[in-house]
Amino acid sequence: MHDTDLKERFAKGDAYPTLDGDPEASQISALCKAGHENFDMKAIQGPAPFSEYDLYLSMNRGGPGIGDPIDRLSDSVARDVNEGHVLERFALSLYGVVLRKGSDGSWVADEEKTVGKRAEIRAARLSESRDAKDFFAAQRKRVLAKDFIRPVREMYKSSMQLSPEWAAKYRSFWQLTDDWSF
Amino acid sequence: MTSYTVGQLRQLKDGELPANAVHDMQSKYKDADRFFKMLEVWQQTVKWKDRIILPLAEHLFVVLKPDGRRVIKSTWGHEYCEAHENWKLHAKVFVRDTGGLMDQIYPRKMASDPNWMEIREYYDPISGTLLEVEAVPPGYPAVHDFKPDIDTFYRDWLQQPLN
Repeated sequence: MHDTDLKERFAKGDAYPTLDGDPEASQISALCKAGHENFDMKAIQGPAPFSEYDLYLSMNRGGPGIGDPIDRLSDSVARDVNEGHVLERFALSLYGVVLRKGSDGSWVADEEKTVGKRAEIRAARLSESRDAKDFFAAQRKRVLAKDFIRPVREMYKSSMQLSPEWAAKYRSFWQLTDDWSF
Repeated sequence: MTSYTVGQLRQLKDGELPANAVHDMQSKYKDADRFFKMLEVWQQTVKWKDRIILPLAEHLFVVLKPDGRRVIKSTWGHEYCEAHENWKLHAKVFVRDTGGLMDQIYPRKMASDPNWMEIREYYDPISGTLLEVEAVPPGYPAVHDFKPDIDTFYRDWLQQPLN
């Protein structure tokens, strides 16, 4: 964020952003007015001019978990939400946990409704998924047609050039001829 | 010689051991019979009778069938394929390769561009449990995560050759 009102906020003792919070209702935008706002998903920030009172946010979120999210103990999910690690709406959509407000105002898992919700999710998964064999058979057509965006095609091409061993594995999996390339 | 009961090891597996007991285990030398005790622990978690010879991944086991074949089998009893093959090719898969499908699991603008990277969710065909997720460029082969050399492991590391 460039050309911000942070100088005035600091002078008046007004609230200013200290974290992003909910990316769909960002504290950054809510607590800081900018003349020019830049949002991108680049993984690397190169040299760029910044002035005093500009604001820079670099998000570094999440990481691999282990196991099915809907196997996570529902009390643990409630605790995750209460401690601010998980946004409340994702307790339901990702973990299948139905929350209700307890008497002290904190979130509590509704065990019975959670069991029901999780059973729904499993049934939906089975009906919406397909046999992996079918998926890969369809993908093979896409590979043969080289139907990928250019950076992905370039990546495969250079990987195959760099490693004949990897190229052989790639061709073997997709049942391509020995001379097949991107 | 350190040794634990099958009951203690089950508690360890299920995250029920208090932290100081876990720390105690971590500080001691490894119990020499751990692997075989863990096989017992895992065998108790499944209703089917085939002998587990190697826990492969969450909810997946390499089992010995009566006819001598080694087969990958899930907690719920789905038999995927032989041990040396990739179980994923015998699972159900759900591929998130559009913005709409990414929006189901990520806040807006927080997902990858699905043209760069898609998400493949592999489910057990009986239970619908999410067993594994791949985050790969479109056109990537199924990743073969784990190719254990079971015979060498039993012969050289456990000193109890199979067969």
